[in-house]
Amino acid sequence: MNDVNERLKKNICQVLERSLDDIDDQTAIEISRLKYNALEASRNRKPLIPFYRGVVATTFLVVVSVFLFSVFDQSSQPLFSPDTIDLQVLLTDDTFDFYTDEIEFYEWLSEMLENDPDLFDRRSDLSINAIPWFASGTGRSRHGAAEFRTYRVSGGI
Amino acid sequence: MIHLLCCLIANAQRPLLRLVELENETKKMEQFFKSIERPAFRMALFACHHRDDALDLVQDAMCKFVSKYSMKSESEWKALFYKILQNKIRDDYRSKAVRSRWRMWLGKDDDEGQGDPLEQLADPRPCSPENEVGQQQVFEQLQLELKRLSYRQQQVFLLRAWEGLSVKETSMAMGCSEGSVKTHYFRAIEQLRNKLGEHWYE
Repeated sequence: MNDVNERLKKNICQVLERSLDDIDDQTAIEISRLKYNALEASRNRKPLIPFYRGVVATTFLVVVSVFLFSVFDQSSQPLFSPDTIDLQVLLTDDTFDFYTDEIEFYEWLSEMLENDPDLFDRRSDLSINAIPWFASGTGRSRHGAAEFRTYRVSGGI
Repeated sequence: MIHLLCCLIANAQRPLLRLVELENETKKMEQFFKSIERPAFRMALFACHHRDDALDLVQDAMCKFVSKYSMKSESEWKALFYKILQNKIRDDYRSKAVRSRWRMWLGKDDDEGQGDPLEQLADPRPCSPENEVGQQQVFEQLQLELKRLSYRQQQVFLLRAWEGLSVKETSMAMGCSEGSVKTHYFRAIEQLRNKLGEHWYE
């Protein structure tokens, strides 16, 4: 019985295989188009996930590297760079009128600094208690304030 | 820092490598579809009796296969594809059953007076000794007998005998136990032997 079944099965498969070649042209074209439609649909959808993963990973790495760069830079340089001091000067509570009053003095000071670059080396440390007496407006206090600001600009404080 | 730069470069190359991989995958998939597209269409046609429906079923199965199972190993592709196709065929059966029930309640004829499609098929058996049995008639006879089998018997027979799936793969594709695959297959071949005869097409 098994031989009969096997023979019958073989014959049936032969007929079925042959029937595949008898599919009409129109249907055959449509069948072959199916796979391209499916592959095209997947191609349009698939690369998005890896692309966005790549973008996210790259952004993350760039952010981390920028952060690490900034940390390394800070550790090798003084805590307050001249740019930071300028910002601090601008952000102090002193009014701009104060600076406009003193503008001539600063012009003079910058000339002095240009003419004598060793001026910073001859500076002496000032205590923080020096601050109150330059607010009185005397000549001594003006000199003290100038010296204090020179130190602030040069990063001495 | 060098490590970070290496990571960055590797990361930048990844989409390119992925594209190459994708291209290879697509070629393999195309080859696979080429090998199964016609048998799949025939099987769907045996099940749903309608050319356009069969094409839609195969198309849906291919789309789902590419999107869900293309990452599986190639040895599993055939069984997985036929599993999807069988699910699609079953869904089609169910939706058609619901539709015909509604039409029956509403008093409309399903096929606008065309009747049972099986009855519409020409009788493939020769009417007289003079009629020569051609290839087409042989196939039509087989088609008729295959359509007379129950859905499960028909599909199990086609998957096992024609597509050469193992009992295990067939049970996975059909969503039934290995025992019932053996039973369906045995009953199908018995019925075909009774209808077609032991020495059919020899």
